[in-house]
Amino acid sequence: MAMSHKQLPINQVVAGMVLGEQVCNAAGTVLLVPGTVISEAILVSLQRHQIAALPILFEQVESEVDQHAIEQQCERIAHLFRKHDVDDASGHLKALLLRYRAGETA
Amino acid sequence: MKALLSHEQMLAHIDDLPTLPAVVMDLLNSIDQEDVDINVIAKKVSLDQALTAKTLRLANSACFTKQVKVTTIAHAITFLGIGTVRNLITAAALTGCFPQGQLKGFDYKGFWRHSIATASCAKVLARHLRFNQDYAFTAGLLHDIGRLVLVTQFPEYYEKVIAWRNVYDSQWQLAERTVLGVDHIEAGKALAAHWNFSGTLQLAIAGHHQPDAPGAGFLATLVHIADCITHGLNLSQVEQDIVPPVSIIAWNAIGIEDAIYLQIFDETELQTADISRVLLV
Repeated sequence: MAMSHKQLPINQVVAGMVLGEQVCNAAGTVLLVPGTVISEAILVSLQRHQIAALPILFEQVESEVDQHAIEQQCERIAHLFRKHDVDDASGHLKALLLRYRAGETA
Repeated sequence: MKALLSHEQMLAHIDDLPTLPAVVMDLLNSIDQEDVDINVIAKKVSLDQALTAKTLRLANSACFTKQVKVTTIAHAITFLGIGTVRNLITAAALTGCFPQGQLKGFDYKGFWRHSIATASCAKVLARHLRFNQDYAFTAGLLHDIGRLVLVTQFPEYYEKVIAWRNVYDSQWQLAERTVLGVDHIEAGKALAAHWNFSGTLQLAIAGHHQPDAPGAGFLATLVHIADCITHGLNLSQVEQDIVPPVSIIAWNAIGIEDAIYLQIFDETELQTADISRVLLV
């Protein structure tokens, strides 16, 4: 499963969550490294540093928005190929473009 | 429907078209020469400030240089090679040489987006096929130039072509032939001859819709496939765009594996975005 991270306000962070990126203080000093598991003690210490949000790691779920964009792109391909029926090469190119738009990579 | 133009009338107007800067002509005519004098080219291009600025901005865009910032044409040639710089100069000169906006209904940006995309795709295809990448890029950039010839010389007539096409939802070539009696292939051939392009380039412009015609040459096949791919990738972003019929003979002649095509689509999109960002502001 692909992993990603997003900034979560510190009041929503609970112990057990994992950092996806390093955390620095205002002066740029690294406080925590990526992969750190958040504990209660860490949360208390971060409040002293006035950190408002943390880059929390989460499993990337293909969002509905992405799915919608893919569907739109596939509709667009159908529109661009509206004058083609069964032609071999055009059909082959269209199929490849649909695979590409659905996120397939080489 | 009575055609509005004859081939002769179209030819008679070719002389009024913009000319390319002499240095660009020199560059285009030296594609297959390895021993071009870099210093002479650098000096000539540098005399044209607008062209120099545009070329350098292109050279410094992400897909060409990653670490070094080039500041002069000679510098760019040293880092990127004469082939790449020739392509950049050609692209910079061509996109600036035709007047824009004479015909309100014509999407000039869409036209150039498609031309740049086809050039990028043809170049990527050429690399995979070990074919001359500079020829491929230039031919891709110029393949539809005949449309711009017709739009520039006969804007009132071309307006009728656009109207006809909107009603019948056809390929441009059919609309042009029906309304004007002359199509962008003929106009492109005439301009390519007028600009003294090499035989190879002329054939590619002439044959990109009919690459399986006898004597069309491999460059026409390459540009034909690049043209179809970029239409399919929606890179012109023109609403009524349409993919031309893909020639099965050309498709088989290219003979690239499916997985490689996915890679080519990706590279084409990236390069097109980079070049368009500089040229189409």
